[in-house]
Amino acid sequence: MAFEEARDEEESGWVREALAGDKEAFARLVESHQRAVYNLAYRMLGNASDAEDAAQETFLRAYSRLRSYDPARKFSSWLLAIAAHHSIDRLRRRRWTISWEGISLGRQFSTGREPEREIEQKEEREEIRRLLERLPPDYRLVVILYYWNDLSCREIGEVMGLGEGAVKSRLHRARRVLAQMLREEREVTSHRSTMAVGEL
Amino acid sequence: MEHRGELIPAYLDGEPIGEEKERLEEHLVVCAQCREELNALEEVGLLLSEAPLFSPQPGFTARVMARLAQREARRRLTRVAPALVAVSLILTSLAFLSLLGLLAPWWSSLAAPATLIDLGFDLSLRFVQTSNTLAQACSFLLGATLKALPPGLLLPYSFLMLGLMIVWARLVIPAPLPLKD
Repeated sequence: MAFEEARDEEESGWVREALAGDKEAFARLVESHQRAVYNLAYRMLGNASDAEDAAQETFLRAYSRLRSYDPARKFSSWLLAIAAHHSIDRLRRRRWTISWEGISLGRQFSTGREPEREIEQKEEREEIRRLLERLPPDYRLVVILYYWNDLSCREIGEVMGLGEGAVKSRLHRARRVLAQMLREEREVTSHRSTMAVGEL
Repeated sequence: MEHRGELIPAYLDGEPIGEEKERLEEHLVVCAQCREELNALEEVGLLLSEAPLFSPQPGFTARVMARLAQREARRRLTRVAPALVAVSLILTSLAFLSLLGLLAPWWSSLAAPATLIDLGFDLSLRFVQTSNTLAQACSFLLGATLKALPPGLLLPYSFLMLGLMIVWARLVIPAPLPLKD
């Protein structure tokens, strides 16, 4: 707790310096929050190039809105709120454009010579991505903030402008849907593998 | 049997649910459906909490700062832009003013409305006058240019003009259609 407080204090110092025009201080803020923001964007958008762009844009917006940041709030929640809104905006816009990402870069990078462990990890990652993709964006956001950004339900509520109870019920519903999808997927694959065995 | 599915998430997250906890545990022993739900939810939680945090490619901060600098430069330019526009407006209006001075002689005749025939006559007259004035202006400009040029530059200058005319002709005037026999 003491560590966290010290870190928060250091961070609010950086914010003050950045507001005074110190670019170095802002760069330090970027450095310390890049992973959280990038991961959120990646999990929301599902691919690396969109995630990179969205994460950069998040920091640019944060810089231009730094004046509106309330130091009483946690800087990370404020930043993640910007990232979340931007990602959801992007998803909305994406409905009107064709994504070439999925078409051109399918499984191009799996060469078949990777160690089994890596393939397993990749498959698991793929599975999570597929599952998340099927959740509606605001449910996806709750899951991401809860599991990867380690926010409490109250903090997620702050980010999304919802009450704690609403966040909890969304989280539970999302988990239930995910469990359902996971079960279905497992059933399909086990069915497929038994068929393959039958063919042998 | 009464299912207690609504308590499972709170139970999983280790939230205090008091004596409900014991009743849920008792229920789980006998109810396969709720047990399965608990397992499924647990599996989802495990899958998600074990998933790695993605990191951006190295140099992310530098890329953000570069974009920030770029954006600020553009913003500075847009702040200067009104001044640039104002200057160019002043220059063009000055140019127009001098043109107006050139046209002034036949402006006064416009102010006094004549009959239609007179107007038509006037118009043709004015056309002649204007073209005359323009021709004079052109010759004046050309003469001034020639006078301003040092004599040694006259030849290269005319060659340059000739070259430009050729380029202009090649680019602007459409090539004649090839004749068919």
